[in-house]
Amino acid sequence: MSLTPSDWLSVSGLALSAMAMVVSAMVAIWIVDKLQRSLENRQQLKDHFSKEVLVVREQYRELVRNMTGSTQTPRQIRSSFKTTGIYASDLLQLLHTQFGTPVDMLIPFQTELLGIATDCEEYNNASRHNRKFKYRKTTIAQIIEFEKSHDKLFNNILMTIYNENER
Amino acid sequence: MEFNIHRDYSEDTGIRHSKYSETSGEDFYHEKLNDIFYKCYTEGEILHLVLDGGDDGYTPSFLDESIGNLVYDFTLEVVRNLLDVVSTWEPYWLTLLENKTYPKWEKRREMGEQAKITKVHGPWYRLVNGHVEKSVWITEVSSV
Repeated sequence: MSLTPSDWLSVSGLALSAMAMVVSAMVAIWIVDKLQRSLENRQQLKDHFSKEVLVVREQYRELVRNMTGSTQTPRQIRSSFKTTGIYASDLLQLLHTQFGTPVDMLIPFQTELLGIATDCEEYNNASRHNRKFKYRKTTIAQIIEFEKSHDKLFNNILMTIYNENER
Repeated sequence: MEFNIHRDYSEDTGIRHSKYSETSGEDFYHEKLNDIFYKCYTEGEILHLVLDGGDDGYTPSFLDESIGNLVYDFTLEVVRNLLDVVSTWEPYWLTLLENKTYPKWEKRREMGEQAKITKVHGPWYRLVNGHVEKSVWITEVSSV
């Protein structure tokens, strides 16, 4: 039995429909895959940056440990703050671009903590000849108190990374 | 005009007063900044004060004392118009100046609360009633 022209038209129509369905399905799979990859990449990006934030937190903790537990020269203290401050600023600039994190979230660590560390008498007295010195107990208490009350800033930064969609 | 503190003044900057460090904010203001800013003022030129460079960082008190004195002597309005502080490495210094130094020293200027000096300085420029005058404006040396 041979197919009539109208049968051929029906068959080819069915074939086209089937092909269209296959193509649609492939496109859908591609889009889902793309979205999935994109979300995974976003998650990876967040995880990467959160690790960087923790690195900065550790650097500031080390700065505090060095100031409160050992002798240093004024230049060493300033230099450590500068290195960490530049690193933190670069990171915050990237976080601002990626997640809208405010760039000034670590200003207290970058300027106020340095202010406490460099405005005291023992730092002043060691400055002229850049000699090693140890902070007094009262200054150490101030530094530790500052760290305690501002450590949460790092968690606040992490929240801006992971809660980006809530803003 | 561009002036880079690390290149054109000192690689190693100190703290607020000359009593404790040779390259203090007080010294930088009286030895360099006042004079350079005066030249920019008379020529209507912007002073680009560059903080970048060097290995050693600044102390907040060095910047507060030197730039604060400038606000005191030339008014905040003139400083805003003619001073461009460039700090791309450490942008937080710009925040410090904007939020603390500028308002604090402008208020001190309005209240007539002059800076403390810890050593004798030669005459320096100050804007008085719209005219620049050069004098030794502070004579009492403070022990701080």
